Amino acid sequence: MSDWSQLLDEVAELEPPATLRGRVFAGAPTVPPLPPRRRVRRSVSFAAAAIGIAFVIAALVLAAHSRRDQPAPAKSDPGLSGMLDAEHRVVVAYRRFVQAQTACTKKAAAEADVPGCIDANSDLRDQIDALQRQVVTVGEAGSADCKKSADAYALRLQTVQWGLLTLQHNLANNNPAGYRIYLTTVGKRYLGSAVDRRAMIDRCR
Amino acid sequence: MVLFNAHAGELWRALLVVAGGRGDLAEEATAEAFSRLLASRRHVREPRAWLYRTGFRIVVSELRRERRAGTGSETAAADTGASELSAELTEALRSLSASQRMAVFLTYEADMPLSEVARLTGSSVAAVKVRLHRARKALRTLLEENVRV
Repeated sequence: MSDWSQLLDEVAELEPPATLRGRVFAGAPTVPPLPPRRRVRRSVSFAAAAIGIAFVIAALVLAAHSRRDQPAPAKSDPGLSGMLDAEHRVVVAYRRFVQAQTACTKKAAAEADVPGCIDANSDLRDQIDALQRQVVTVGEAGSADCKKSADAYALRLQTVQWGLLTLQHNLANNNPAGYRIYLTTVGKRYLGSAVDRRAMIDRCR
Repeated sequence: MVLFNAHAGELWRALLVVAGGRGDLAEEATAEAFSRLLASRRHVREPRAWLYRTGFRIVVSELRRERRAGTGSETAAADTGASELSAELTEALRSLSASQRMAVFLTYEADMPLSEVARLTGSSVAAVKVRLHRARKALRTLLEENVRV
């Protein structure tokens, strides 16, 4: 060892993983096979993850409940009513997702069926996808202000989708650090979408 | 896309150093920083500095969380060979704080002037100088210990 410049020389030769670009732009992370070295430590790492998950699940439940108190769009508007229906399905799927996270954590801790846990999350993505399409449709049929706010809401929903995709990737790839980060991220993003939703309803009703 | 091509590699390397060689954590933090930038790009005036600060915060909060949970990630990385860096560099980095690691990387590896390091890390030039001084001192101490052994 001589100095920091010399020590850090090796870092210059390293390149980020090829999956990074896809995860940022496509939002569709590739799911490589489980690395055998880490399989052994699955129970230990996911047991540690359970500590953080308890807090996140509380936040997720809060998010699901907070939807009830938000203003509903006028029933007479077919576009907004369709969006309300889609939102209701998202809330139902979100509650299932919250329950699944608890079950998945326990399963992962017992080294049980991880692909089953991944399937439990996919319904929420489908419902958010449907809601996103509905939001875009309402925006396109409305004023310029309405469209702008609808785009913002749709983008926020997209970020929830990205978080969910990466969460699944991390679960499949047994990456507890990433799993914890994205579980928190999904909760925060879903909570944050309420602001965009409210703004959109105000401008589009 | 332009931002990603220009900065993703260097950001990932910086976060790899901050994470003490943890490639998984560096990748997560880089991907998350870019995702957050995409979601809120309208409000970001200096994307490059924003990326560095966000990525840094993600890594630090995750390392802190792991330390509290007692999983000892950095030590485990060094012990089990999970670090993507050499044992020598991993050991040296463990003697530094996260902000010192970032300052050391940006100064000695990315060859940035102090003012640029301060801008990217959201601190003053004086603070960066202090971090670099302490980092050099830590390395000197480590060298002396190794010589004694």
